[in-house]
Amino acid sequence: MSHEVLEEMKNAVVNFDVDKAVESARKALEMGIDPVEAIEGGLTKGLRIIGEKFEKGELFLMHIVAAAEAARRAIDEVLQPEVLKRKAERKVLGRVVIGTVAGDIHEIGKNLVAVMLFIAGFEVFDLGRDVPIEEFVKKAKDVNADIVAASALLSTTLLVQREIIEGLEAAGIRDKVKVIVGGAPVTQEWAERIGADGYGADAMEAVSVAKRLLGAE
Amino acid sequence: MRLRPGLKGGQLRVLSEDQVYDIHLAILRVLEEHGVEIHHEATLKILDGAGADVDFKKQVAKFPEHLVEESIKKAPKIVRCCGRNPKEDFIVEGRKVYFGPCAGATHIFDLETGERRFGRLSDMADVAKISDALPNIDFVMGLTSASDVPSIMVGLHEPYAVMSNTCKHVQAFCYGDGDLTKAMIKMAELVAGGSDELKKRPIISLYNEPSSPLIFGSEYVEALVEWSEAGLPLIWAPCPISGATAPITLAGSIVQGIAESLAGNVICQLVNPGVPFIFGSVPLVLDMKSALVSYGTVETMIKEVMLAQVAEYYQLPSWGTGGCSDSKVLDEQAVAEAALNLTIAALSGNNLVHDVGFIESAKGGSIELLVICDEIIAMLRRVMKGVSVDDETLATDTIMEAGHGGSFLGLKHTLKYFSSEHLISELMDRSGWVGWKREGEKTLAQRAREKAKKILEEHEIEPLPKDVKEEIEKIMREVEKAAAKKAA
Repeated sequence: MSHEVLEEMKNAVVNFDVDKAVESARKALEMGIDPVEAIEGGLTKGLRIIGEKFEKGELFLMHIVAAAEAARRAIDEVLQPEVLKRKAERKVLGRVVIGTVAGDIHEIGKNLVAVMLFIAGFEVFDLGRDVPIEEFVKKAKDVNADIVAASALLSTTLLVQREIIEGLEAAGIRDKVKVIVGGAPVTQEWAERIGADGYGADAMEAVSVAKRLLGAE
Repeated sequence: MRLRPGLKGGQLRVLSEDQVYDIHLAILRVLEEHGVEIHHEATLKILDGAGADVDFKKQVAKFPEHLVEESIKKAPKIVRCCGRNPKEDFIVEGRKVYFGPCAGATHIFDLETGERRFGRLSDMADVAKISDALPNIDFVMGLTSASDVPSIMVGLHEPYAVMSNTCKHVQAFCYGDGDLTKAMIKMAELVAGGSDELKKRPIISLYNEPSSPLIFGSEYVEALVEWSEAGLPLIWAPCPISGATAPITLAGSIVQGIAESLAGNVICQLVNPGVPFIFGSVPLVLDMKSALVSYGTVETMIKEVMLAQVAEYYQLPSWGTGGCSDSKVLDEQAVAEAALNLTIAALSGNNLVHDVGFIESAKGGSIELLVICDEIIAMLRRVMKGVSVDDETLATDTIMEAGHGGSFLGLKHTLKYFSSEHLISELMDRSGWVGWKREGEKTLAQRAREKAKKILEEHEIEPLPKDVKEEIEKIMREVEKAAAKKAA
């Protein structure tokens, strides 16, 4: 029976059905299934299928976004609160704090990176856009982040990426996190110049860089 | 005075009249019920005074129908674009099509080494010179971007370099900022010989844009207002990306893009009624595999035609896109996409077709592609020129003169009508295998490169007068000092 409901959750993700995902997540809890098991045995399995299909070229970006939305809602609204209540441990590749830097309102690319990281198995805290430096630092501290990811689209806001690294240093946590940067004007050379740990030219690369930095896979 | 002839476009239609009207109604709805977020207090005040529904806290202005339609009426149907040489002037009207490159691509392919590298100011000067020589390029921008110039000064260095190296109409790529725009206008006045002269014969227009979806950034609005006050031709065309910053549907993305553009027109016509306004929407899509913007898909071409049809409905001059590709290098994909979208742009009838010579989805500039497109445009021009059918060209007498099994090669008729009936190919090779090998087995790209290099060696541009140059450089030094102070 529990196997059925996990299948339902997986299929809800594969079918981009937000309501079904949330509904079956609730059913899973009612049936006494461990919330971590529900995430990993149901939702994550669905995301893995979506990820594979995308890589094969059978599905495209909007499918990724829709499937991730279904899984994310089920987790945020139903399962994660339960995980926290039980002080349970989720198996994640790492915790990522991500956002578009202060002064910059472009976030579509960053949203895609967040989605891809989520699908790949990271726990992602998306701060949105025009995010003050202090907010990056505070969230990294609060959630014990492994990675801080900063996106900038303008040659002017690019400079803020350096300031975020300085902010992490000032807060004494620079050595506890890996910093990755991205966005249209960002280059490998810039990333190295400001002392970032990694750079991805696109969302796929961001995921492999994040995995590499944490020694995962 | 002979002017540059436009190519007569507008033959291609993808929308019915009803569909165009539906698009128009949807545009009005978006502007009236949803509006635009404008990060510029003074402009919001102007709109508020004119009857727009303004929420100052949210910085959103909603435009009632009458305001949009009045401003469409106020915008001139005929716009004169001028060059330093009056023979390079042209008139934007009806469905006459003109072509030119854009600016802003970070990279360019080096003509000597073939290396893909960051663009420099000298590249922009070279592009201007080459565009000046190419017979089918009507307006000029520098194709790439000047990475070797302080970023705060790029907006001035670029149009100065371009204007110094062409006598054709120049467009300035807008980097925002009211002070920079003021300086640019002063520079253009110096070249034109005064502010009245510049207004009468505008040798420069501004290519400016909002941020889709529906956000007008403060620095760009500043530039919009300054330029409108000066009464110079202005392009305000967004780049809404279907699937990312605009609806995935073609009609929806056109609705949003045109709404963004027309909202700009409302502002311009309030600031300076009758200012020449060119509206548009660059027809981009998000590639759903790479998450990058595409310029070469068939959907971008369809949107190009849709835009022209709406332009015709409003009787407004329009900003078109063509001669560009998503290919990373000048290869078969690049030429296929550029040739196709150039043809579609011409057939659509959008008045100013920009982006000629762009590859890598506008991140790379290819001078070779620009040169190749010049010849493609010549071919399109020949198609649109039409066919003459009269006693002479029907040639019944000549057919009889040649006789059964005869030759036309030596006839006076052939000699007389060859140049008016046929376009001479310059870059497209029409020789045989042996002849082609004898000439060095060159590819189209190689021939284009050689042509570009030859132009750079031989083509002469009338330089700007020494005193004008000194004045301009003085202004630029002052602006640089002031900008550095502001940044400190």
